[in-house]
Amino acid sequence: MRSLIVNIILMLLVSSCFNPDEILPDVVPQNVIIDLDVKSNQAIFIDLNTLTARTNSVAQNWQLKFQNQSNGWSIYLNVLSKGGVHNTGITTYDSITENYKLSDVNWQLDVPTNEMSYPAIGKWGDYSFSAPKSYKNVYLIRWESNGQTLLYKMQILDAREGAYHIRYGSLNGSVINSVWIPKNTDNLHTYYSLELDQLVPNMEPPKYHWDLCFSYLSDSLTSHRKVPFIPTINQDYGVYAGLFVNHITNTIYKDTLRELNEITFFNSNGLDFKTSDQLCNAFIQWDENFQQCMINDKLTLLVKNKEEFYAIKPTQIMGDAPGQFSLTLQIKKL
Amino acid sequence: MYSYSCIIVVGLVLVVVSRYYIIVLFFSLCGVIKVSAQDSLALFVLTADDLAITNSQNLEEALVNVPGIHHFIKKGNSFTTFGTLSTGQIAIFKNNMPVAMDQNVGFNLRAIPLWDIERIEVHIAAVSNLIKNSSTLVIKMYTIEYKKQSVWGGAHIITNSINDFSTGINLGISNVKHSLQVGANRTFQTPLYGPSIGRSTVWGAEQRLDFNISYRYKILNTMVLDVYSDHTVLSAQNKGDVIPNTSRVRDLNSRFRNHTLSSSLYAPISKNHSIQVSGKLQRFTNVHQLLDKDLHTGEIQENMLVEKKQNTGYDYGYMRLEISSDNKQLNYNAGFELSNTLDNTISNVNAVATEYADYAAFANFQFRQKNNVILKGGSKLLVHSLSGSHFLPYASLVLAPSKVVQLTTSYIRSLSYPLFNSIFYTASMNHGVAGNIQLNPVKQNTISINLKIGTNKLTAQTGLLYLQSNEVMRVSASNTFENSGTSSTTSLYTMMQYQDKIWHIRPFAVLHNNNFVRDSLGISYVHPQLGLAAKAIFPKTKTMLGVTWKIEGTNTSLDRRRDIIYQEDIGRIRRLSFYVKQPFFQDKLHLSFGVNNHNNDSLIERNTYMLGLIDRELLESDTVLTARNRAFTVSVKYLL
Repeated sequence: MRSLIVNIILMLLVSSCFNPDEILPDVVPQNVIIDLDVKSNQAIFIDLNTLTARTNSVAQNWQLKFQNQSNGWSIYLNVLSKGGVHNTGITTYDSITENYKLSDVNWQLDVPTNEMSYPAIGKWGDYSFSAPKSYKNVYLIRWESNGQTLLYKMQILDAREGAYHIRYGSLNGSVINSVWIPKNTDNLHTYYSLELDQLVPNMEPPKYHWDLCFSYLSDSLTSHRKVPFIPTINQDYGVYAGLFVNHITNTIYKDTLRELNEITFFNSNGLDFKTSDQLCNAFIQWDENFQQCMINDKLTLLVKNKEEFYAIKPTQIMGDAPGQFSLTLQIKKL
Repeated sequence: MYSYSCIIVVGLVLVVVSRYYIIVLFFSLCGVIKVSAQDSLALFVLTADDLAITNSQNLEEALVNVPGIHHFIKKGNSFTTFGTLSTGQIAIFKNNMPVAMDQNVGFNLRAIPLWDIERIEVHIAAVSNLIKNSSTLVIKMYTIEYKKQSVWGGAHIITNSINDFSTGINLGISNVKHSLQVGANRTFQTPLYGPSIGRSTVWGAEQRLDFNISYRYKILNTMVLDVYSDHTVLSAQNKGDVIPNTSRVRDLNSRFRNHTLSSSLYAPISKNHSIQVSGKLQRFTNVHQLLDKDLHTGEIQENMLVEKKQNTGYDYGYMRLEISSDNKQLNYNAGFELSNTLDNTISNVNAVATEYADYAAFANFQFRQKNNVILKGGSKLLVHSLSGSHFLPYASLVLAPSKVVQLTTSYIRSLSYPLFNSIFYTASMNHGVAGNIQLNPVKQNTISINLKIGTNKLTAQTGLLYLQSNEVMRVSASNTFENSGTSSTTSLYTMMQYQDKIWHIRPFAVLHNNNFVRDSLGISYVHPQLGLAAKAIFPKTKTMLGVTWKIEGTNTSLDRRRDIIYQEDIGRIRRLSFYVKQPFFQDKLHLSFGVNNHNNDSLIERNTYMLGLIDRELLESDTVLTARNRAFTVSVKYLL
């Protein structure tokens, strides 16, 4: 009897238990090659979840990019068409004519900041209302198309919840249009061609189908000493390789201290991830010794996508940045 | 289909019973048959053998086999219902002490072990002063009695083909004046995986450790002190799939701890009068940990950012004083009870202390007229610190025109306290729904008619149970809990029992007619159930054969949230278990073999709809878990 009780107690203690966790092999980071060139591959969209790259390879004729977020009212320019904008400060549309003194105009371009990028058009109204009240300033907008320079004037008339109302046309009054640009909630931005007087569809995938976009953006030359650039209408600004972040679903953290293999979910999930929508020359830097563009091997970009974390590190750059180059990235899901 | 067959079965039994009733009534009036009215008896009883047939290791698994009960597990949460009643409205007692007090804090029925339970009684519309609140359905569990010998005990090992394992030992000693019983048990249940190949569990692995002590002190021949102390720790590991392109997983570990100390002192104070004082202290905690693990490096970190189940824990205090008078014709008792419920995890929310108390005075009488008539009545005046006072009357009339016929009618008004979290917790702790300290208890009016006919050998009973619940808790359009609903259940049931020296056969049929949202739509849904519990013990070999079978039709329930009505359909459920037991060595060693869930019906289809004015829209279609997978069970039990 005593032995039976001893056996029973032993069985109570050692019989079937929770299974220990299985051991899995390490996950090798995946290589993704970004081929960008200003003529045929202007934008490459990456879905981090599937690591599929979608290329926007057709040079599109668009001039304005409207923010679609319900509380976002920014309007951006197409930097690859040598575009620029000038705020005349005048609110009477008809008073801007061919006689406007263009020689004094300092063309402005969109610039990235530490947080969200700042559009050259700037704050065009009082955003404290659900439908902003426009200041009714008239803007001059220029761009190049097929070797010709085109110049329009544009006034943001009004807005309602979910749409922009703009008026634009030539300075001589031969072209005049008044259109409502509806916000498409499926996409982050709506693209409009002043030249074709129409919306340009399919410029970017639906907002939940991309996280990062490698493309081009403008920035001041002083911020990127000696890094090659594509000239713009403003001699203080150049076009560089840029990274657009889908800030609806992603926040980022720039890690310059750790190697990729040191970065894990556990030492990253407590970092202070920031909302940002543009990074200029994030992975590219100028090498004084070799006098050429090299990868910024100190930077690992951490992206927080909802509850998932990704570490992105450049490993190789080939070609002539920013005009035509190939950037190889290692992307590791943490 | 099942609803029709149930209606036919119930109808046939009613016809047979009513004819039989007329014949018996005639003989009883002629004085041929002696008559005897009895107090309300259990509607259904699960014995230790019944629990062994289905290999029920906890109360949740046992209730599955009770007529009228519906059970399933959805997204890691367990649901046990009886018509429109949820677990929180089903009163559960162990040795006549409430197991989880007001049943409104999400007590885990899987943490209620059955290895020391000898008998589970299921009562409907029970007229009793024991019932603090909800009394439509009452589950009473009774532990193994003290034996009239100096030492007794036993040990058991149960294992099955899906590697569940249960071992236990219990030991009792007695010198007539003092009796002590100690028992310990460990039950491990392996995880259940879904149909997809992966690491994630539909129901995680569970380990339950129990340690129970009971002590009886016969101070005098008639004066008895009982002390019970139950301790249970239930640990569960719910595993998640490997996150694609990583070596990382997210698991949910839960630990439920329950510690109970209860005591009861019974003393006669005169020839016909006695006094009983009972008290109970209970503490339980339910802690959940969401763990991020890297299965390559072995690193583990608790995730505090992602929303998980709220950690909860409560302390209870309960005391009852009762004076009874037992006479031939007129019995009566009266007393009072006090209770207190205190949140031991979050002591206050928004400067409001998370606790409440109630006290109640009760008085009952029972009048017996020549064994033909029993009239019971009484009331309870309950004062609750949050919702005020409530008057709860109840009455019952038992007519027994013959020894074999008994008609029982009863009316009970009772309460169900709103869920504790819906009173105190904020929206962030309640999945976005704000608590409401002004919530009232759900008021329940229960009417029961039961006709029982039979002899010791063959018994048939049929009845009608009507329950109307008022001030049912709903989620309002402004995302706050409020008392705004009404629901009702009409249950028609028929049960038979045949018992002789070998056979004990109990077929049953239950037909629930549920109306969940009486306040807005007059839609009722029928939920039929058919079942059989049978066993045979062959006297020569003492071999026992047992079978438990139950089939349920589609169960439809409605839930009104934010002024939208959601409909949930859970498909047909079949349960079939066999069992054979052979005792050896003068009944000291029991070997048994069983097959549980023979049909292997574990995952059942569930469809959720949103009801519109004309049509309904399918929102979600998935599966719920209704039973563990088919298993072949071997059990060895040794008795001292």
